[in-house]
Amino acid sequence: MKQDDLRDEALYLQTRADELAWHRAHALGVSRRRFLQLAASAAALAAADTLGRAGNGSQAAPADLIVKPTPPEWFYDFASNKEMRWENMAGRGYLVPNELFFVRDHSRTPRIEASTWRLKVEGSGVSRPLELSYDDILSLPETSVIRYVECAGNGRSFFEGAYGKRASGTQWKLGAIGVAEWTGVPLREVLDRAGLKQTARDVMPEGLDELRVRRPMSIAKALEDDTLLVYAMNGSPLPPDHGFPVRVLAPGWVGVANVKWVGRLEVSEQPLFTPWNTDNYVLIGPDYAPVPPAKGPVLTTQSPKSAFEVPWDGELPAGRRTIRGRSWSPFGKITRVEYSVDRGITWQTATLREPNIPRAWVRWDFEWEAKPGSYSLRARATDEQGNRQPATVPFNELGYLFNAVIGHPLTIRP
Amino acid sequence: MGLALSPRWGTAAAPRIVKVKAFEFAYEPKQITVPPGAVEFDVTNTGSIEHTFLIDDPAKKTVGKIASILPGKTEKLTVTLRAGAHTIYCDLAGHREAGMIASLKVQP
Ligand SMILES: [Cu+2]
Repeated sequence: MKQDDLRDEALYLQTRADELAWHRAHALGVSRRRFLQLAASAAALAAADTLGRAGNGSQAAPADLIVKPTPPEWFYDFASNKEMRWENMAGRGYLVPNELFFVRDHSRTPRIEASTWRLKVEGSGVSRPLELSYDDILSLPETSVIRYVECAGNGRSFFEGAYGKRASGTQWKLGAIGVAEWTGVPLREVLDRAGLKQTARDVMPEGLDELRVRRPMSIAKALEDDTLLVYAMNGSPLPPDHGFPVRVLAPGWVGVANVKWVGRLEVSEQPLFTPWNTDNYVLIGPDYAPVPPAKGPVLTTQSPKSAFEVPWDGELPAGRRTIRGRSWSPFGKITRVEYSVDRGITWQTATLREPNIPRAWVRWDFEWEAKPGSYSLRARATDEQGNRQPATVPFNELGYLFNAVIGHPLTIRP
Repeated sequence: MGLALSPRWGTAAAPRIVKVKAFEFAYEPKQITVPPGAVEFDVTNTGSIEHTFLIDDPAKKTVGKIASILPGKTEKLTVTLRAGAHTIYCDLAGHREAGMIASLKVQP
């Protein structure tokens, strides 16, 4: 088969997938019956997808830290953390398939049985403490949204290049992000059933993992329409590595707020503090003052970023190329993406492709007459609120929120 | 930070070497005593997830840091220490609380 035919077929499948994604983004409040239909259509899409069968289950992490196969051609390996390789998203549809979605485990993936799992909702901020089973959760009003989830430390490795010293933690490039369709019950529905008090201030989901991730959020964030207790991802039951049976979705907020394997919600009339919002997931550094009891400003929303769907430090043959990438912001739609192929001397505007869903991402591309040489590609996104990626980001010891424009190394060979 | 030469402990070319293991969720040994001066810490991650290694001085100022040690790897850190009670810990989320803390006494 000729290359052009393959390209047309890929284009066709992608267009169909995009239409579905766009449709789903508007399909809030779908019924349980609808969820089953979604699962069926997602399975059909997965079958049509051209995902390479690289895994074969042979790449299990040491001590089975992670359940799903994480072969090196799909992920950069950081033990319990696996970074998505952006080149695998090249020309792919809007959503990241569950198989390719990055994994950030604070310790390891716990294996939890849905039949014995319970969610406790308790604390001074509710008048009727609850205990819900998996079936209870499934019977509550259902909603689906398309949103990104991103680690607070995505891009951390670039602090070293900018400041000559490493920030603590996993040295991610830009692959600690993914966009999926998340299905679940609005957190608000569960809080209402527990008799949420007017005086409630904080909600703290607690994970059932070994370290018991406890990351409080404000009641305002907990009550947003798209803050969910999620049990399905891209139409399939939530995979173990992504929080089975139930996780939190807190769109636009740092990844840690999207607590996986949630087993308890503490609702409090008092502000809640744990090491997860006093010692970690706070900004510590010369440009940031402590906010007692926290060691620095507490992270909430992420920051706008961009990434190329090109191998990092890879090679491409010379000639006319379509260069693709994606940009995202916690504050709304991306309205403009500029790119530079000459180390930031001149900038042009990339073409944005629908869908462009707020707090998900937008795909963009540009045509480039690539001549042999070493390049450093740059992309710079602006969102609908006027937030633009900066030239620099102040150093912080734990390496959060790096969203400066970076040079993506690429060699064009003759 | 310059190397403080102590006449009792020889030249800067040969810092004292201390080997430490990091794993879920502790350091071994848990208590370390060294004389003031240059010390090289060889920290091996014998666990299965990432860890870090920080040293805070008695005033809680961080005087040395290894920002990431992947499982099976050994990373080295050389610091010049003054007398006093220091703290070694891992600053990854939840690790210090789970037990990744050790005491480092610097005494002549
Ligand atoms: Cu650690």
